[in-house]
Amino acid sequence: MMNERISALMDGEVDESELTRDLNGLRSDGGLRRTWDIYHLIGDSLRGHAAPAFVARVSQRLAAEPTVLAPQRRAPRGKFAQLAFSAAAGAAGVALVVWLALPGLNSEPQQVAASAPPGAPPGAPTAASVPAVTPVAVGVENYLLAHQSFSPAGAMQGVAPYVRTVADERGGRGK
Amino acid sequence: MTRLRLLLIALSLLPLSAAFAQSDPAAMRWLQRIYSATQRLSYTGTFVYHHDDQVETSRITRLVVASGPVEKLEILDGMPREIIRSRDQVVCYLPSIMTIKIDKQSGRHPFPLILPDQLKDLAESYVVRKGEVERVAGYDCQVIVLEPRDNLRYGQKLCADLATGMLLKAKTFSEKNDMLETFTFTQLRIGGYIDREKVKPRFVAQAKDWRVEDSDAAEADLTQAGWTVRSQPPGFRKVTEMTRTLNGASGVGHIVFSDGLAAVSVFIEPAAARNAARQPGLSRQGAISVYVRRLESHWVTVVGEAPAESVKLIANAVEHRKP
Repeated sequence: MMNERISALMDGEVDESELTRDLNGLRSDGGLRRTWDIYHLIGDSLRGHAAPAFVARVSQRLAAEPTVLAPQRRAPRGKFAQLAFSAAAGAAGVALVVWLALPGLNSEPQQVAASAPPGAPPGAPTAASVPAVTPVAVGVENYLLAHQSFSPAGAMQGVAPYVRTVADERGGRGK
Repeated sequence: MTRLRLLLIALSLLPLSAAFAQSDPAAMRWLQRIYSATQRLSYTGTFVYHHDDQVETSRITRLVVASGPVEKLEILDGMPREIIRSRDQVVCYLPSIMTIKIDKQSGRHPFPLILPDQLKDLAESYVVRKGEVERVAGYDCQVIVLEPRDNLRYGQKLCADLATGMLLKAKTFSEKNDMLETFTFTQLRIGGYIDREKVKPRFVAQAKDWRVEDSDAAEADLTQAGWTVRSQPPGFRKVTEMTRTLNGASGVGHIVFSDGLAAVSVFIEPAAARNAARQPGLSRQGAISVYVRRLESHWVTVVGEAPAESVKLIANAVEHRKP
């Protein structure tokens, strides 16, 4: 929680009454001071302001580290999820969507419920109320590709949303 | 006296209750921070795209070099596919159909196409507030929630790295609070040394004989050809209009509307033998709604990350008068 305070402090988002408290916190807590230093160090290196000697030292340490191929573990999990979905069609599939959507990806249903737009029924059932609409046809990718670069929401995510524009022709489309 | 005091208290509370519907300025600054991080940072990582009953894993790398930023997206599940985006073009490598698709941005704004006043537009249609601090892919991140003010747009829950502003998770939810799609990083390294090879396409050598589809997009005034969109849903404004080559047909009209967060594109193409089998109606993938409608001798296709009602409203407002 304190990390958020430090971030706010760095962004100048702290008002005067909180400022004294936060600065006192920094003065007395060595851990907080380290976080403060690390955040500034991250900012400096991203802006290219880090001292060359420091950069050289970090590069050396990184070169000495063993290579860990972390993403490997993730890919099969995605495949398993797809397999599981194909197997459990219909109502069971809907239940699975809810189950899969909840841990991690959707960890705070209360908060989302609180953010209901005006007029939304409170406590609406989750997957059951998804309107039955035809999945998009193969060939819609060309429209999505043309559309994608104009989306401000997509622009926040860099090139990631383009994943929508290159659907796997042999994949699970139109199931 | 007591009544007067009550009245004074009631009056002093009035602006407070109105303020509840206002966006938090600190949350708006976070959005700006996310946008500037998107344009500034170099990073490499793996993310999961989850929509409907599909989960897809991709690797993403962004590197800022002298000529500008270069980004590479590799889909790791199913058929290998790659997208390379540079300052002014997007190139898709699709080995399964031996095709390269190119969308050039010549004569238009460089990526990303964000105008300064779009954030102002956004505040008219969404209430933006800060949430908790969460943890995604090992980073502490600030939750920012964008709640739509009506049912014509979807809400978003974002989570951005406290230290850099980099967006780590983006969830789109419907008017009924159902999760429509989620992008989540599972592993990410921000900054540091990134080899240039990591943003180069790996299909270049074998793609020499592949089919090339170029969008040939060019700004155009479609009203001169008689095309107008009579009205838009509240909050949506026309951003740009152009012609492009689409599905093998040149001169396809493309009009874009946006509310500062979501965008909706209108495509107008002549009905021909090639698209005779097209079905009118509504379809959806994740947060994307698609509505197809026949108008005289043309097909109108409306595509956007917005609810069905919004794309339908826009599609049905398309009019053609013989110029």
